[in-house]
Amino acid sequence: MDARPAPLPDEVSAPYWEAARDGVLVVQTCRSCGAGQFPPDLTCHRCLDEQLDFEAVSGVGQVYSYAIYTRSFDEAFDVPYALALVDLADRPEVRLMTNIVGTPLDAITVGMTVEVTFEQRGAWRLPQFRPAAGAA
Amino acid sequence: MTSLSRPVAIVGVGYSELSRRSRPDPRALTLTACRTALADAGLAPRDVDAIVQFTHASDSTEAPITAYVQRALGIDNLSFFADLARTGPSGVGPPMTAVMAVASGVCETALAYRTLPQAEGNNGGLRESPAEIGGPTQFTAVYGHAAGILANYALKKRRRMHEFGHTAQEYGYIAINARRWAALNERAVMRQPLTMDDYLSARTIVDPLVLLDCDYPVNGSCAVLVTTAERARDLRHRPVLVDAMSWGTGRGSDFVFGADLLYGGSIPCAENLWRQSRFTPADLDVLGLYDGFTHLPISWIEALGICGFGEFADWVDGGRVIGPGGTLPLNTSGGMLAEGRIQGIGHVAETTEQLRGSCGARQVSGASVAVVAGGGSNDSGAMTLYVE
Repeated sequence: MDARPAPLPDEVSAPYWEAARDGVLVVQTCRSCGAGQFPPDLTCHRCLDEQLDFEAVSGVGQVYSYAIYTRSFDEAFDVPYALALVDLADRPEVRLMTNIVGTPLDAITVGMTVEVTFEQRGAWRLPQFRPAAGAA
Repeated sequence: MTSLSRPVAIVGVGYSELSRRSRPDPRALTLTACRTALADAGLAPRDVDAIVQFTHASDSTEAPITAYVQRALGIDNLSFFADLARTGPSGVGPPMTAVMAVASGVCETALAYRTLPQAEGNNGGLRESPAEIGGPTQFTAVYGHAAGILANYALKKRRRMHEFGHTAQEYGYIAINARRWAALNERAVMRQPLTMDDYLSARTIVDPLVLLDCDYPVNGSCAVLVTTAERARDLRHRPVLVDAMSWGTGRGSDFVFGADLLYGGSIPCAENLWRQSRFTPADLDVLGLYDGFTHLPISWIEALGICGFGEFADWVDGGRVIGPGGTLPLNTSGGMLAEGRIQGIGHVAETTEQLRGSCGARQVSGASVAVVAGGGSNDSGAMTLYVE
């Protein structure tokens, strides 16, 4: 059994996790100024507007940085695994935390192009990232 | 004209023993540090009318709260007290808050302390996640962001090496420097010298973070005593005057998702500090920069404008600049990496001793202007100190 934790969505984050469950990566976006932000929040951090929508994005991004867990600090997670920060290509103001999957860990580089993939976790699915198809 | 501003000085410092010995009573550690700071200044408990401390957890039962210290020292009343918790420039926060309280006129003499049982902030243990995670960590913990502070500094280190094209060697200069100074400090717990080979072959914690990038957990307490510059003139030591202070968070204030992963709030903090200061980076004689991880003194040195961004590796000249006999000594106690993790208040105490000339074997000759900085992510705080 997968002992890794599942997200427990709240009122603000529910649309994000519901879209992910349906295999779509969305970004909370301000209806007024168009800024995207992560994690989702009650107000737009740029213009303070409270009218916020969730918009689907391409799911392509770039690895901003990554770290490899080679020893376990949480027994639910099998090592080694890569924890990463990914900047979204079509919403560069948005940086997500994620895992880089589907690649040998020593092939991961800062700046590599990655694309979203979804991983079942309890009743939900997590956005994860793998090397983009056709990317060098 | 308001009365809410007057010159302030640091007039006393005190430490408990710093050790890895199992479970000394945190109350005893705290009282030892506080009583030593009072004796150092030549003041009695009845002279104190304010107490400030910091703990990371608001519900920590480990470090005693200010009311306990007040009772145990027999202080009848406090005109100001604050139990700072959860966020802030860690142990540099209580002295900075004490300075503001005294400068404001709310109180006359403030005792600031930070007490750390070794267990607090010790991220080495294997933990178990709950089945579901809500709240702010629903976007991080589900990805195995366990012992997250370690991963955060691994992410910063990897990004810095990429952004500036450096190797891990520049981090090694900080680790080696800590031991060089600690060798001159009998209070320090890690006094064995390190070589660059030792650093580069150190055990990986979360790649690329290695063991020698991390500070050394101890049981300990440190206290600093602050009063008016006027009163300070009548006390035991040459007064160490506070020149300027600032906190800083940066945009999107968050340890992981904040706008500036590498420097956090240290850049706006430094900008506001220098705006107020009578000094410039060129005036500095000694540095006390938070070193919970080797990344932090490097990012502070650049944020403070002591060298350009990405230029630390060249500037430090193989470690010579910041070591004993160097032109700008850094963390002369050995810091948190080698003296032991008392989280920044030790930098305030050590810098105070440097400026008044009581550092013995590690005294920096003629030191008269210094900067102390705490935190360094979205929890930045810094102060400039000087002697006349």
